[in-house]
Amino acid sequence: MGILQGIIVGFKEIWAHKLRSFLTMLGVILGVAALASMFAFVEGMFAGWKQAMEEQGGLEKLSTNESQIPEKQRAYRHIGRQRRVWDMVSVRVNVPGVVEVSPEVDLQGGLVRYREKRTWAPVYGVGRGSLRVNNQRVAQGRFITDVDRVRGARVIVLGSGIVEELFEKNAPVLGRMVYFRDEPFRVVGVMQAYGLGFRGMRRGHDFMRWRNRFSYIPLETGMEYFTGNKDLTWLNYKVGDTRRLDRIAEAIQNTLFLTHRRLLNFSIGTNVEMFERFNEITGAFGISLGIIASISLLVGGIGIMNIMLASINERIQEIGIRKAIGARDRDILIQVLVEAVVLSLTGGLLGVGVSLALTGVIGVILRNTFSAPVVRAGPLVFAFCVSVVVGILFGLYPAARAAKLDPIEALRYE
Amino acid sequence: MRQVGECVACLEHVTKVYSTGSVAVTALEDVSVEIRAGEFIAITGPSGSGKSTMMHILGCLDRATSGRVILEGRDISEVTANERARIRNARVGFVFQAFNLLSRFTVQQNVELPLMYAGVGRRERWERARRMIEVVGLGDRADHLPQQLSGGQRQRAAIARALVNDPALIFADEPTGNLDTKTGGQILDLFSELHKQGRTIVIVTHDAEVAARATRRIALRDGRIIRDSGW
Repeated sequence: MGILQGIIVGFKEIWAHKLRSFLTMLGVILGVAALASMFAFVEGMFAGWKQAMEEQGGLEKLSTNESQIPEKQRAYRHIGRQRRVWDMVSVRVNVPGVVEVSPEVDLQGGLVRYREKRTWAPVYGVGRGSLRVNNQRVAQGRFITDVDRVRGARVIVLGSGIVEELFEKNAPVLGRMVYFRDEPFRVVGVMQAYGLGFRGMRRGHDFMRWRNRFSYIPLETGMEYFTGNKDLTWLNYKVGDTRRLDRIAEAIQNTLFLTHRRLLNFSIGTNVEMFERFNEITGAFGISLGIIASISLLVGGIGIMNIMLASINERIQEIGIRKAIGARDRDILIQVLVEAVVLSLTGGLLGVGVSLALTGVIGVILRNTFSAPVVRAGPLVFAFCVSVVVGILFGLYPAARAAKLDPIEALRYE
Repeated sequence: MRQVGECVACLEHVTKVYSTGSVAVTALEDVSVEIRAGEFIAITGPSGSGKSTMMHILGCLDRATSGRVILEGRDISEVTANERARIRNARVGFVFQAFNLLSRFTVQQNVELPLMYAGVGRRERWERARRMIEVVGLGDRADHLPQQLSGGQRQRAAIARALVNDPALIFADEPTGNLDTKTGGQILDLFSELHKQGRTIVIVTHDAEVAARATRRIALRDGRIIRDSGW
């Protein structure tokens, strides 16, 4: 007997007991739906978090922060130097792996005013490198340039969130004068809103809303008008090759060691730990959800086994007849196995459908966030294949039992 | 069709012991018998005499505990399960008291089933099955389900199924047991007809009237042959 005929017989058998078959398949449907949806949710979380991290500069970003001087260097802390632009210059010149630098000064934010409207904005003094180091984009106009810095120009690049609050919709922004802490600045650019253009998501997320308020003026302008000294708050770098991250961080450390007169009043920070934690969390989520999904698939498989055993009991005589007219053990095995697989296969297909519907609905609910589920073909196919494997595994025992029946006893069975 | 008188199957000192737990029941004891082509044999005896067991061993459904079973010149006492299935499929045909048709399949599909296990192609299967259904006189019922047929018609379908692979031997276990006298007689007429066409038929029965139709009668009691009319 061919496999194809077995499949046809299997489908007929399922159709003959519609309700029973459906209840049997329910376990597999739910299991596959859970498995496939789990993939989509973890994938969505992964993508969302990854995007959030990319928008903070990603793995390529290194930063130098202020740090406590170690105990044994305390005695000559007075010779120490603050982080200044020359640090950046020496890193740029001496560390080949660094492809971009961004000296930044935190101006602590303040009121930004345009005509009668005013709002609070976090403002930073930066150079042109900030754009690349922090993975940002300008939506309108331009960013801060070297010329702005040299001239100490009073220009500002506004965050999209600020523009939304201060300006009418579609009103011209470039070239307008705004006041930051009562100093006039000409708007030369508007930053791209975070989260826009990626999987069609907009705003949402408080963190991103906060990021969308960030506004920028030239570094030297900020120092001159607001901080009154030449100290930098952050020294950020972009690395070309993340595989050499450790070596490059070490090289930066060595360079700054010299420019800081061997005083360790700084530390090098990377996003590695963040990425590792993120990968860990994603992995843990995947594993725990996978286990739950597997349990439900297991239950589905047991359901199949149960129903196959029951249906064999109902058909002992049939098996006897088939054997009497020449069915080999293998023919019976295949017949029962195919039926189990057809059950689980149909359940798997329905499960994939349920998963698509589920992720679709949840996707609509979560569309404004970074955690909207991502449906990919691979996991769906995988979940479906798992259902087929479950069918084979849990069909094997009933099938072997049916195949081993003694034909005479089976024929006599009432 | 083989030469009349040629040996089709024989048992040589066959003993069959069933052991259920601690109790051993001897169903056949040192039975030797020879079945020749073209015979119409009735195996008779009270229930428990071992007549069904004898048929099962001859028909490759069961194994002898000791002794040799020879089918078409070949010793089948020691062949593998797969080979036994092949022999059941191609060399013998069974007709049962309870018809034993698959209720979810039509007559046509039931008759095709042995051919399917034999690996015969779909079109040839259909044609051969249809021809055999017509031979047993069910041509207009081929697409009916068993439960839509009368007992006699069901038994005809079962006979068609037994014949479809052109077996060397046909075994019938109380084929009229579930039928009234009239339809039973018709089924026996069909067997006689088949016998006239040269088929070798073995009927197991305890009905003297049925046995009277046969050309040779073998009587069993307590697992031994007590009378063999010879051929």
